[in-house]
Amino acid sequence: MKIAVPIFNNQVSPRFDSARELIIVDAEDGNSAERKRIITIDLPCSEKIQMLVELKINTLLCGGIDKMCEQSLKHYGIQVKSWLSGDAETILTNYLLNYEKFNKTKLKRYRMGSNDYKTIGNKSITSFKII
Amino acid sequence: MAKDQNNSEYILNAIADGVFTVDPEWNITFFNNSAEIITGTKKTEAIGRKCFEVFRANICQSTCALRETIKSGKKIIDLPVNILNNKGQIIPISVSTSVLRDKGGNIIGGAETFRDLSIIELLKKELTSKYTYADIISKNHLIQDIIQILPDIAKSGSTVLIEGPSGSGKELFAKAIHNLSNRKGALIAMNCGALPDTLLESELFGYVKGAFSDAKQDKPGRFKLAEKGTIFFDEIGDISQALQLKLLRVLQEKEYEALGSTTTSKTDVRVIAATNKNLSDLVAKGDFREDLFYRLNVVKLELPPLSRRKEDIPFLVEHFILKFNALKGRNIRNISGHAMDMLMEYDFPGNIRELENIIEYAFILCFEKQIMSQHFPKEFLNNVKLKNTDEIPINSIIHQSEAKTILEILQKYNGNRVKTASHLGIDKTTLWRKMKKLGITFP
Repeated sequence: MKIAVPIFNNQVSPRFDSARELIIVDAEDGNSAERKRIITIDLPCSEKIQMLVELKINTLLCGGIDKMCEQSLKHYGIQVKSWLSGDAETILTNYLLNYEKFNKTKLKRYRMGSNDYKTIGNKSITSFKII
Repeated sequence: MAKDQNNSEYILNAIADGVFTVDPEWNITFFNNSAEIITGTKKTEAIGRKCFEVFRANICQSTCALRETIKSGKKIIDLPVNILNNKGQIIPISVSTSVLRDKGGNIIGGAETFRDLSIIELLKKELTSKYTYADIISKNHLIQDIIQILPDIAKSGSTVLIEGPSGSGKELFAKAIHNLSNRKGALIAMNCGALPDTLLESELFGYVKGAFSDAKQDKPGRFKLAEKGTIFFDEIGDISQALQLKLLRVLQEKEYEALGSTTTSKTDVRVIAATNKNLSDLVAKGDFREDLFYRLNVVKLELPPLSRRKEDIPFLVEHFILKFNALKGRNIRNISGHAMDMLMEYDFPGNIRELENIIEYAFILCFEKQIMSQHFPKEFLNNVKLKNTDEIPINSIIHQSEAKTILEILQKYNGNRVKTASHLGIDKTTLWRKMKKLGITFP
């Protein structure tokens, strides 16, 4: 699962549409995942959304976002966690830790109910019967 | 000293412009009442936070006006920018900035005043028709699906056919497509149903001097006026077979002749056509040329009637109140719950245009801050009432009768629940449950 965070001076950007930089992380790699930075200066909102779609981003952690942008992102299947503020790294770390914890719980619950857990990918885990 | 500060705060809180001040670390130190209203953030939440987290202007992350002022010491006056309020709405404002200094002349922060330009921008839009997809008010998934692809459609330059009932916003979509496109020419609208055939032809292609007895000089047609722009044909389903053929030639060959002219003019115009009829049906009946239909039907947008997007009614009402407040210099704030219920109940055969007319009518009769149902046109009220009497569900009749009986008996026993339940032959818990369900309070 890929996460994007628009940033401004290492804080979560106050506005998604005018954000000049994004951090991209793959949550499957846990909290140690490499933070890739992408410059988005002068990219209009529609092109930023297109970029997130092309980068196969699953979740956007952001500050303020206008309704139209939010609806567009949801239309493309991108989950939006908006109106966040503060240090971007702290928010991202907390999110990744929660994600990891949540996935471990799901995996543990699955292991208790089945012997064959090795084939489970994180994305398809919900398609299996979880006891 | 403290008294002076209180007086300043009192004055700053009384003015219509938003005002806030920051310390050198960009933490908000003062936030007046108007700033609360414009940004939607309470001063208790704003004070102590970074200004860019609260203000969310489009320039915060690039060319912050306050930073420039503090750096250079020069004031900035009436800079047009926009902010994002806490409802996720983009609000156009103008900002002015200045430096705050202590008695010794040292910089201790900055002050920013800002003015809400929403009404001015709305009026500008009404005058210039500079609509974009952001002006299309809808939460409906069918409209949202169209909005997502509108920029791509706009940039494609393809011919667009917009189908939808009268008043469903076909022209607004045409304007949005034109304004989102890269075409530099004008958008020229033409209502094909409004003019007789001969007049329509001369309007479309123009004429040269002497083409007919009243043609005293050359007159350019709409195609000429829309050169390098867009021509919007409304009610395209109403044009005659003869004109359909001429239009087909323009779409195929990109050329036409003005009336009475022997020379052929080339044209570079994007065509957007709209109709409230089903063109496929007209083709099947032989009333519309199949080849022209396929020429027009490159990209087809189908707009649903308002009755199929009722979730949009509250947003449209809010928009029209804002619009008529601006146009008529009024200050109506909202609409009563009952009046909104009536609007939600109605099917709007005239669609958004009819809703707009109802709100405009209410503005004539309403002198309070809130639009009530009595401010609506009589015809509308009669239609909603008729609908109500026609379609009261059976459950509702039973509930009304049940509520009436319970209330009468409760009153008879001065609100005594045990006696009322005993009289009705039910348990007192059942009575309490029924009262809760029917919304009955003790008399």
